Amino acid sequence: MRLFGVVITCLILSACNNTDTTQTTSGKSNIGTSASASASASASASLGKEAELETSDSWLSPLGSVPEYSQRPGDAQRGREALFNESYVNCGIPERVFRQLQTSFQTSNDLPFSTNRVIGKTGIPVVSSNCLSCHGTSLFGELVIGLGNEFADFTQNPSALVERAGALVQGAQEVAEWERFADRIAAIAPYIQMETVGVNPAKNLTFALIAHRDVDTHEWLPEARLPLPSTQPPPISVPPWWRMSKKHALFNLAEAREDHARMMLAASMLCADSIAELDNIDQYAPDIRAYLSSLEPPAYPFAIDTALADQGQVEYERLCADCHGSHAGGLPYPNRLIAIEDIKTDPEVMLSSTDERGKRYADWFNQSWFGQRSLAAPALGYIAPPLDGIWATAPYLHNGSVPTLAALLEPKTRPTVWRHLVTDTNDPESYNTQDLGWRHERLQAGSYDLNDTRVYDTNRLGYANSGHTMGQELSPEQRLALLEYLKTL
Amino acid sequence: MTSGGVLPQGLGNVDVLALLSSSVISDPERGTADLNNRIADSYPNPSLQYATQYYALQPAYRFEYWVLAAMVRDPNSQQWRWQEDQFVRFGVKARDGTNHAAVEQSVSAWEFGSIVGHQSTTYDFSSARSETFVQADRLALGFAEVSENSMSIGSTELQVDGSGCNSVMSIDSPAAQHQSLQWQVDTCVESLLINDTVFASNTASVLNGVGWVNHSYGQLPNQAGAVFIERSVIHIAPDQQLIVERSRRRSGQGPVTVSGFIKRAGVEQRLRGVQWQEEQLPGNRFPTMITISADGLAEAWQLNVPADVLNQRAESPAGQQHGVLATSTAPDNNEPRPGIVTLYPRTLVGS
Ligand code: HEC
Ligand code: HEC
Repeated sequence: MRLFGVVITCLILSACNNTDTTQTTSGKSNIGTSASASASASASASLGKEAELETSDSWLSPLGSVPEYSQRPGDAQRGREALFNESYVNCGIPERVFRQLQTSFQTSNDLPFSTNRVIGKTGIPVVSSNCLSCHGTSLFGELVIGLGNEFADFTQNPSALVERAGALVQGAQEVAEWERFADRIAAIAPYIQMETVGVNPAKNLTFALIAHRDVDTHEWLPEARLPLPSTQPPPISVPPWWRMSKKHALFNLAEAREDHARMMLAASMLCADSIAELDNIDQYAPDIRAYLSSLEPPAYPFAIDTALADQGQVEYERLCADCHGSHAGGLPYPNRLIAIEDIKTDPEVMLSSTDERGKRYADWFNQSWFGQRSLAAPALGYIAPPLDGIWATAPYLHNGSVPTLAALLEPKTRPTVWRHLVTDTNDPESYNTQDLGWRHERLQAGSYDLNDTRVYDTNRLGYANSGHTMGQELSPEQRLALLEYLKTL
Repeated sequence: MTSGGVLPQGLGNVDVLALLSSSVISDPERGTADLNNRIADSYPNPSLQYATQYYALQPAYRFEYWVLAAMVRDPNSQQWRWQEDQFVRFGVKARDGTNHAAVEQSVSAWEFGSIVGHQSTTYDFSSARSETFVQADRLALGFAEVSENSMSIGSTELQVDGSGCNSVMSIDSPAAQHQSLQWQVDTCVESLLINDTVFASNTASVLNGVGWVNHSYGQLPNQAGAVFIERSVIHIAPDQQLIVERSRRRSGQGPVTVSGFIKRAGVEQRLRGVQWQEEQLPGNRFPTMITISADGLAEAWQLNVPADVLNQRAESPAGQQHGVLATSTAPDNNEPRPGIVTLYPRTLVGS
């Protein structure tokens, strides 16, 4: 699936549903409360009971511990099926065209795991992206559902790819399906192109879609009504889904609060053109959430020196557990948001969500159908994530700027410019068991081919590898032990 | 399970010809011995209609794709590799009561036996230079929607006698000013004897050698998609090509996209910031100059589009003007050589 890794990967972040049932709201209202449609994000002062810092911007979430919100219950098994079969994204490439392209590239006849076959609005089948285009990776021969795709290629103009598929559409239905999809991709394309493979534009993508959606009816607006986001999307490394059983809020800024299920479908802005369609998707959203929360990280597949790991555990409890939670019966995962001034990692992701434009997107969200159950309220800092399965989620930090755990724990060794060497995540040789991360090479700043999209240059805006210096005081022996311990999480 | 971990590559590496030929059934035997039977076998779809979108009454069609490759030597024993790709079109109609097909003249916009796309590459081992000669009918590339007269690049004759043997194809390409290709293909033998006369710098050289044929056929690839793709291929150094593509919708709406890549030793690297600009001299219906530039290229490439090479009769019902398959002048001596893209080394800058 060389081709559609890209075509589809970049395309769809969304849920669409074409069925005409006019059910209005889901009956499953086990959620405690939900913000009213008009509630501004500032509403709950109660959100920040344990705030360490008061912020003057009242619409933002306070730093410190994120409170827990009750979630609608769901059926994990049904959620898994929904993920792969439901038409939560109902726009895409007509299936006939998709398969024709597949054949001409001599790929397998099976649809890639990152796609769903769904019925488009004209009644013909289309191939659309599912959540796994960003949230699934084939790792050492097995599909790991929920492991962020750190090699997805968002460096191309997705509109050019979709337009080219348009050379093959035939007949009114195919043209209509393709055009609907292609028009939307064309509208958002300038805002979702990355400098380097692997990093993800999902946030900018959502912002661009918000700008093109009517807040009340959710209809598509060919002309954007809100300011559009930056054409240099801040890079994001996709977090693994198995953290969801521990996290009280979604995303790096812990901005996605209250009902997680609906928030996950914030993605559904590409194709869902009415509230009725959204309501439909929302019926099984709690099942998908339940499934995500049931996921466990993959075990480290190579050798572990358990005696050394035991020594590392001591270091972990001493230096890391305060923020990331203990895995040895100590402090459970504390859901802590750390101020940007303290963590000092790249601020761009945070800035783009909390500046004036970011506020307008959050306002839109909170006033829309999504805000009826969920709340968008970012903070001026980053969440310290649970470190379960951390060996598998390289590269590290929210922007994927640090290629290995070893480099993360020894900041002076972090490469300023580095290049992915991995072409196949199924090949165990692609993984560096010494430093814990995917194989890469260090490059000289300023002396590489600018066209090479495998190069990660930390000098670019948003791509900095600064901050999170915890661990730099460790002795080499202590660091080795800690690394060994991290393999066991 | 799919190879989801492999770094995906985009349509950027897709050849337009691959798109065009995507519905061509690949010949499993890779030979041509029983061409006729296979044409007959491939017929059981009499309802096949060629592109009604072209606003003309169209009969059933078959589409042929030939690739001929050869190693040849000139009289000085200099070695050349030569490859010829052809799209050939001819109509096929079943004879009643037999399973043999007959080739018939059609009333299509394209004449029976016309070559609708044609590309030949000559590779000179001594200087490691290659030269590509490209000609294509606008229709073939989907650039135009209707054509009153078919383009004929030289003349083609295809004789099939029904036995599957003694089938002979000869193609003469006088349209190419620098080169006249004449060869015969005996479809009963897997390898062919090549007899070719090449005119270079007004000198005729006879090339002799052996070659191989790949032949595919099938339904006509979809021509009438919603998007036109224009493409330029420039040989910028030995085994290095600059390939730039532009897409535009038939509807005239929607985005115009341009993308490009450099192909070195078969490996493609996408370029950032690719631009495609056109100029049109007064009195011309098509752009006469295309300028291609990219962030990583030291200089922009200018492609001259001579009026006489491609089928200028192509015209859309809406009176839209369409671009052409880019061809270029030879940048080394500025002498216009229609349809020829000549190798010319340029420096690529990193930074
Ligand atoms: C275009 C890529 C993309 C697609 C498609 C996508 N996501 Fe995401 N997802 C992301 C990124 C990037 C983040 C991290 C965003 C951030 O932290 O700002 C994320 C975050 C999440 C999170 C929160 C994880 C955490 O630890 O906070 C959940 C849950 C989630 N996505 C679920 C889904 C579901 C369900 C779908 C399908 C409906 C989906 N995503 C489709 C890219 C994508
Ligand atoms: C003061 C709180 C704090 C302490 C102490 C701390 N971290 Fe972190 N950690 C964070 C925050 C906040 C982030 C997210 C930063 C970002 O992505 O920009 C993070 C991110 C990480 C990540 C990257 C996660 C990912 O998905 O990319 C790893 C790995 C990590 N920490 C390991 C450790 C280890 C090991 C220690 C102990 C040596 C430690 N941390 C100590 C707050 C902390």
